[in-house]
Amino acid sequence: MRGAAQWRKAGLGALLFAGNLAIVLFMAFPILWVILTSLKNSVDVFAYPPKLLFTPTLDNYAKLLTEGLTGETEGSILRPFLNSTAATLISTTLAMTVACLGGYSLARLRPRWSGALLLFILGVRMLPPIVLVVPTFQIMNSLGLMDTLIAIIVPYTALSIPLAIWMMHSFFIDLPKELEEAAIVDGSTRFGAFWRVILPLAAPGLAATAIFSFILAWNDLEFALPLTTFKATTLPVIASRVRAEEGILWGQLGAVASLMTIPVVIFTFAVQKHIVKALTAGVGK
Amino acid sequence: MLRSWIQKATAHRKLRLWLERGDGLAYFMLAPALLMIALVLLIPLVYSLLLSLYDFNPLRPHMKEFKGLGNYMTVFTDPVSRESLYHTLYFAGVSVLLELVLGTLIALLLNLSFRGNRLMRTFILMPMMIAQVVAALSWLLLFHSEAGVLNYVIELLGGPKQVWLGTELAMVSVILVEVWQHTPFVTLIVLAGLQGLPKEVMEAASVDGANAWRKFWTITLPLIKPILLVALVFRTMFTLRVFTPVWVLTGGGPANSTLVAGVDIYRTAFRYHDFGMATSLSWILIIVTAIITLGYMYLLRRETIS
Repeated sequence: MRGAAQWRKAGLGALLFAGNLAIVLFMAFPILWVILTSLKNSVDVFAYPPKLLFTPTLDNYAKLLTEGLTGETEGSILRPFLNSTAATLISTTLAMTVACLGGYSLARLRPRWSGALLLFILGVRMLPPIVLVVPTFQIMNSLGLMDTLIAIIVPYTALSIPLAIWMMHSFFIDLPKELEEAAIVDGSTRFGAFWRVILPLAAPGLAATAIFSFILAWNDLEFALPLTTFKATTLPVIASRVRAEEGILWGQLGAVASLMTIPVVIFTFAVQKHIVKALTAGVGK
Repeated sequence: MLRSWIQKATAHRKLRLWLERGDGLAYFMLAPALLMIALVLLIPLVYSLLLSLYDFNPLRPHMKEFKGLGNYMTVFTDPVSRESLYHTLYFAGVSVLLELVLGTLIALLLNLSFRGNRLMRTFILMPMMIAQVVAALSWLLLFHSEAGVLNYVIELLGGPKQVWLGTELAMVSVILVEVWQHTPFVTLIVLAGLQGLPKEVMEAASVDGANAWRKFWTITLPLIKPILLVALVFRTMFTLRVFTPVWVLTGGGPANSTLVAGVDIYRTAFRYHDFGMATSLSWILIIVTAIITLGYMYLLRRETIS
């Protein structure tokens, strides 16, 4: 009798282990493999059968700085890296400022039409960004802004705003109303109460919201691909241009991919618990 | 002098009063956001609607010609555009179905308590957070027909090497990458839903002797149905507009076998310089997305009310 129950338990344990192993292999392997590839020398990279054990080298990262990704004279990856960083940080900061103000207004000041406005903002969020690429290209072109950082920062900021407002709205609504009322009784203005009392309390929510603006700009290819050509190119654009069939540049490719992944992973772990809320903003409860 | 000073002060006071009371401050704080949305999102949207009615090539801007709904007609009669619409629906349908099934299964597994559970939850977040470009590049290495890991594993198992990005398998491969990257999203929200389920109901069912299979079909599944619908809405919306992974992996080829609407729009606009066709394709994508999403949302609303 005891035997059967124990067998059953052991069987379930084995099943659980196998399931988990399969998930880890499937989910994590491609990423781990690209990181490993970035640490291989040019012989190991293309070795067949593929090598799991090899002497790691940082050559590929060094090459990124000196000769870039094409192996031609296009030059260092430094400029696209700085472009990506600048476009991401500026658009995130702008979007968060605008969204905090708007989110607070909708959550607490509740002007007339605030319900309709929230729905409208949600509707805007449903818009596929790819449909805005063509008209944005034409507009930026006629404004003479092609291949400048402004041409991508502006759409990144605007595209981040709808989700950011929704998220900040939900964080502000969760804060107790008595806090600002107390501040106002103490002689603070409405805006002063928002600035000095509410905003600091919403800081964790702010951080969680910021990561989505950050990811949108840092990972974007759709807008940067047509809007930037040489001076303002970002990392995704450079990476997408590599012809990987030959395999010569796999090491550098892996290095760029790893470089693009690191900041996002760090931010993600920092705000992990708010992510579900953000992902379902507007539909889930 | 004094008078004007007083006038200024009251004007200022009035402004301040307006800002402090009523909706003044509220609209003042909302203004930057609404302005950005209007200028950067809505104006281009309207502009693209206008462009879609013209024959317009940005390299020859003076040869703009009004075509009415001509571009839309062309989309529905041109075999390539029709193919791209069909591919889009196929890609979205298959990807979302697989994501929902796999995502739910993984969520059920992670809902059990075992050691290393937290670590697992972190692991499955990884594909979702990396850039689509990075995801596509990672798989590009694995798909390589000569030195790729995927073919190596298949050879180990005794199978023949495959051309993963060839005409026959390209769509399958692109769907595989999509499912890989976005199954975690479904897992994550289903898991959140599972943890919100009332414990008493589940325990009562166990006491009644229901086995795991029946418990899932008769209790768990109906309870998480609204959450599955949320996942369905979001994943459908996002797979219909797919661009980046397909662009990086295949560019829509070979022989247009992975040409989806997103890639078609981009190619038509920036390779063939046909902005009229590209914007009409865009609007068809918007309308199709809206119809499907609103349909699901209607189901969701009915589900949560009843």
